[in-house]
Amino acid sequence: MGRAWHVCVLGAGLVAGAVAGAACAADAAEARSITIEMHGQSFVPNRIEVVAGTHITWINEDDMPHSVTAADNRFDSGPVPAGKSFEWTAEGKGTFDYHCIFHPSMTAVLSVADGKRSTQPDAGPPQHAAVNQP
Amino acid sequence: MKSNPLFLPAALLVALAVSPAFAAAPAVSDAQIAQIVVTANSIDIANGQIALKQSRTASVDEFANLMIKDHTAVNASATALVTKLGVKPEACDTIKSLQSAADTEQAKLRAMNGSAFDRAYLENEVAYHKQVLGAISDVLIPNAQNAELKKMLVDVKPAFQAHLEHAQHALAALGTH
Repeated sequence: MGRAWHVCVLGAGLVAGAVAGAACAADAAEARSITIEMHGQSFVPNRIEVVAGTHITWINEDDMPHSVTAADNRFDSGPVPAGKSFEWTAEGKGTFDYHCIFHPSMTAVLSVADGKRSTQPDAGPPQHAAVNQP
Repeated sequence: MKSNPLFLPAALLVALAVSPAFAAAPAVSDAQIAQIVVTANSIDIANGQIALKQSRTASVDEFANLMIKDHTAVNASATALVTKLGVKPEACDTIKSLQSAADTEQAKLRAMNGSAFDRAYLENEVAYHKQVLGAISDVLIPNAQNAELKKMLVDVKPAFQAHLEHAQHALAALGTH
């Protein structure tokens, strides 16, 4: 798995760990468990869409503390030391800006979509994640 | 912190702590606070750009890049906020003193290189972030009238504190080489 970023898909009977790049990004909206890295003073990926109920783990791979703080305070990790992680289960629907309070340039966007979409085949084509890789 | 006689933080003390606007916490308008924030960030961006030119030490370059990124982001947020609020940043004597002191220190930095530069740059970053943190806590936040401007100042404090600690660690690491 590339160091740049990875997303682990565990939901709906699908386990796809060692994927990276566009294919992995495309699956992110269907994921039930994903990992976002804090690496190089960036969130990687820094823009992602998940379905409601997805369990998100942010791992701090830098050698300095970071935080995962939503602009509207719906989640706030407090200081996450180097090597540690923060977990949050996506609730509510919408697009949420978040950032590291210690590094103002470290910003990202999390979009939470209706959780029913991934379990209802007739709901139309999946809305794939938009991921901007650094 | 090892003292460097060529590069004391006195100039910044003069600009931020001793200048009329910061000495006794007089009233500073929101427009002036906005300009002080932008100026303070711009100065540290310029310091970082000098470091990228003068230093060949990876840890110093990393710190300088982070300062440039983070302070640019703060300036972008501050600019967006004052635009939204319709506040026009306004110059004042504090800003002139701050910029004048920075010009002097940056001229000293540009004349240095090697390990002397690294130490001088990081010592200045430690002193500068201490002074700006003091100014934010003691002057800018108490005087900010607009709630959103005040919140922005409160929110940015952890970043300045983190930068201070990062600079202190980087400076301490220099001592082992």
